[in-house]
Amino acid sequence: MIIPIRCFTCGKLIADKYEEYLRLQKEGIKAKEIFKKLGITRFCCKRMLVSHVNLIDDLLEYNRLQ
Amino acid sequence: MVKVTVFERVQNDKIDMVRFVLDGVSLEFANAFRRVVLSEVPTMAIDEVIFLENDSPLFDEIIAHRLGLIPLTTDLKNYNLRHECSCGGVGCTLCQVELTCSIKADLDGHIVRSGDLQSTDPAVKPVNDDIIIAKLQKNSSLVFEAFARLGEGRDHAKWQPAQIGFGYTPNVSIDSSKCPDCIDQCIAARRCPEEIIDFSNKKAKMVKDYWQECTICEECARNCPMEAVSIEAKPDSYIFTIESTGAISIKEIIDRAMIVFQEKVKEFQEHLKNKELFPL
Repeated sequence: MIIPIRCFTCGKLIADKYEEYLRLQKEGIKAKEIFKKLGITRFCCKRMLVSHVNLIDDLLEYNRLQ
Repeated sequence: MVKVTVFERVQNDKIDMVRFVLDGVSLEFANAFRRVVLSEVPTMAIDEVIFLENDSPLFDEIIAHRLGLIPLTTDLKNYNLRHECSCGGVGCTLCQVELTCSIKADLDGHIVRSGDLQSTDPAVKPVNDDIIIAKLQKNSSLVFEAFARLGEGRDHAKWQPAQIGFGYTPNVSIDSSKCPDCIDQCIAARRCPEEIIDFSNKKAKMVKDYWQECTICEECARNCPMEAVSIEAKPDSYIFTIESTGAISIKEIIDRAMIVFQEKVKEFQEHLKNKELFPL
């Protein structure tokens, strides 16, 4: 849906890093280096970003207030 | 003798982290310290939200839960826990802070961030302004009032001040007299995921300060054909990793945890003096 605020497992803040993650990914930087730059070390936090599907963008297409 | 050796310290606008070796304490003490940090050090977090308008695709409850998880910078000296406050838990300026947000999107896909929250106390605010709260479409609005309170991690994970964990200090020894039989390559060195075994001079040895990276996966010991690698945990030595959420500094977290721990020991001592309960 929308990127979770914190990692489900350890509780590290990730919602502030998601846009930076997407930006670096678009630049073609390897995932390993992106995580190093963002300061994400544990695999529980990595999966939060890697496996996220941002469905909220699809739902925004159906606006209640036209 | 208890000895603390800090070997890694990262501190910038997004990360506040420390790694240290704690020598000379038992496993039970190390775990007690970890648990006190997780569940007894108070921090601020949003606890109650009143929605006035919500046109986003997310339900009120989801946004309220997301708001709760945002770490807020905390001033421990000026605030009381709700049940210990003189107001009796009703909510006064000594135990709660109001944060408001009023957004009307003028563009499609407007992102509501933690920077849009207006706090009544400048000392209590989200740790950074980039945390995504919700997304709005054109002409949608999001208006709410939220109340942040001091709480403890034992009640909800949103009040945990840090991510803390500890592991054994590894002690890896390689019997390099067995190495000459593997001339071309060292399978143990190749299998090591942290790449901390050096096989440059046809003799396997651990690199300097390998214990900082070693996760004790035992991949080397399991795969060495000569069975030359042996792994042990150093007795009474633990590697701690503390990563603050940004709510309180690491120094304050450790100080506070120690105060809480000492109070608990003192309370236990008082109970032991009670002759009715312990007729010794």
